[in-house]
Amino acid sequence: MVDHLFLGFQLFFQWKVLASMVSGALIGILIGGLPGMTVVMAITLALPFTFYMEPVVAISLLLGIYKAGVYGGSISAVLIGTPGTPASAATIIDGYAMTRKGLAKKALSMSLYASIISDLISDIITVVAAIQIAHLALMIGPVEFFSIIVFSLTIIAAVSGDSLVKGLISGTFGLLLATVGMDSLYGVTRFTFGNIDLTGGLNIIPVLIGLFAIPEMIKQLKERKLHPEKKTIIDSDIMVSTQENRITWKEFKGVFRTILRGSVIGSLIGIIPGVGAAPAAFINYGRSKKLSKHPEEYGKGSLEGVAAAESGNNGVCGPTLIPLLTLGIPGDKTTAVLLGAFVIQGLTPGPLLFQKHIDVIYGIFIAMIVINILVLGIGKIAVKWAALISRVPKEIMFSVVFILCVFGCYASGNLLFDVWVMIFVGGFGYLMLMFGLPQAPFVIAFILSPLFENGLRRSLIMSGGDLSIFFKQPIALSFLLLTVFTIVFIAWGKRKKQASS
Amino acid sequence: MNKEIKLDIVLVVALIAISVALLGFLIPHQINVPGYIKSKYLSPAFIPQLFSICLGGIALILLAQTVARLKKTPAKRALQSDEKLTHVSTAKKGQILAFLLWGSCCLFVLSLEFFGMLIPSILFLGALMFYFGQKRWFLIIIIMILVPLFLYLFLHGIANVQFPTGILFG
Repeated sequence: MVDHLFLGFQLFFQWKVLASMVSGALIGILIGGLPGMTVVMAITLALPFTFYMEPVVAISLLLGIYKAGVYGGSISAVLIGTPGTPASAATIIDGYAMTRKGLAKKALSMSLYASIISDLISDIITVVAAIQIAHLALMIGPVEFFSIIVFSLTIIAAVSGDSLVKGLISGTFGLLLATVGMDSLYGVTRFTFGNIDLTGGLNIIPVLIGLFAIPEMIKQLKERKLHPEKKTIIDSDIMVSTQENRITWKEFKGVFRTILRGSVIGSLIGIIPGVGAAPAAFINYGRSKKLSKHPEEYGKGSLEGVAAAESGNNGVCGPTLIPLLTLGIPGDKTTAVLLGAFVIQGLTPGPLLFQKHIDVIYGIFIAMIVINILVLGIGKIAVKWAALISRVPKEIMFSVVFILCVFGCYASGNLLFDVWVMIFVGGFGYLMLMFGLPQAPFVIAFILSPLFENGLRRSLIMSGGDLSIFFKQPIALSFLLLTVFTIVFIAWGKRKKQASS
Repeated sequence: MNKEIKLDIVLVVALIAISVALLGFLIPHQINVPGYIKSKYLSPAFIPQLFSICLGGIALILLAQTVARLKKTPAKRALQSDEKLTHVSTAKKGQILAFLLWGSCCLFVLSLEFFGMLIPSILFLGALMFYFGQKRWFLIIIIMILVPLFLYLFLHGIANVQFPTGILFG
């Protein structure tokens, strides 16, 4: 491996590689921070520029956009309560709550550190154990995939807030809404009402933006009109000292275990094709809340909550490349575009890539690790300036955010229909707020619902409709038992809490 | 009865209505299950049916919880008539304002189809800032022009997004 690393370094030490990594990181943070602009979109747009680049230079640019983009999504999640990318939806829960307490800079710094550390660890795991981990990915079939998704749905309980029942209602709405569009197995349309735009289902970007940004905009502008004395986003104009907005060593030590857990959970989720960063963030958030010494602080502006969400989603970044590089299987849209980039460069991902172009592979591995350091540097500058946004008057901030969301939603699919989806989901989101239904379970369920359905139906096709298939596979059975155990544990915990109160 | 319990009762009624509408009308009429599908688990209607039943079931649990809470909740101090009036009028005003804001957003999106992306965005942004309390007109003008223009140029020029030109201008 040392020889391979040496070969990789030879390709890596070029000014062009550094320039492409810096450009990628800058573009990634900027695009990731804009609601509606996805990492996939940014990578796709950058792809034509890589045609005439050398392989390591080209892939470094795209990886820079990818990694920085996943982190960049947390900036708008923390500052304006709107996820820049779907992966940062979980960051809103505590990140935005911290902003409202006047601790925007602290939340942004924590999200930066958690992202970088988790990403770095997951990259090291990728470099050291790519081939071995790839074999693990091959063991995950539809049955195992389904059981993992069922287990992931238990996270709804962790993000339900005070009322588990309301969390479940919100989650069921998410599950139902995701069934709109064409059924993936038979091509049958569901709940489209004859509208051709609904055939492809609801695009996640307008749904997320509508759910988080529109109700918050309505709420804040309404507050501004009813209580004009409150001027900024921060509740009651709390003035927090610079010292309080810094992360102390003690605080960092306190969340370090959560970050480590996030990188491991993120890495494990990352190797499974098709799951993605958003579920990883929620899963780690749920686990961290359960294991935390202060679970009551989650959802109210917990630093640990921000670290959990961000380490979970960034932990996916490295290992998501493993199925692509070792087996040639793109796990999601981002890796599918990256697969295209490899092919353009004359490299065919798969087992042969490690035999024929090991120098390029290690050059890319080194770039993956160095990109984190660059994102840390650029991110620190971004945090310094971005934190000032929280002090912008509400009426300017939320009016601009609305226009930003409209442009972003439109750009996500080049369809005005997506803007309508955002507006209607926004109205629904406001009703949810009114009835005290939490938004996070809706998002988790909306993201996991297609995976749940596909996993279930593919498994049942394999078994000819026999449900016992889920109890015959050891990995699937373990996850299902874990799900039952988690549900019992949650119910027992709630009962105990009720009894004590 | 306090406001929270009232809202929960409304929610229960709405959820049961949605669940019944889905199972009794929307699923049978909006999902055409091909006749060759033998297993009910593989039917495209199975998952929506399952989730609709779940929704109804959870609504019943919420109803049971609400009834239990209603029995436990002690009678609260009746608000003084003045206090009650102020509270109700502010809450009502807030809901009307929220509805108007959402309605104006709908009108704005509708206007995009007629006038294209840029002009309505500039006007709506300015109107929003002014209506919600920004009085520095110079600041309003700068922001209302620069923000949509930057987004338009950035997305159109760099990301090659084709924005609607509007029926009137297209």
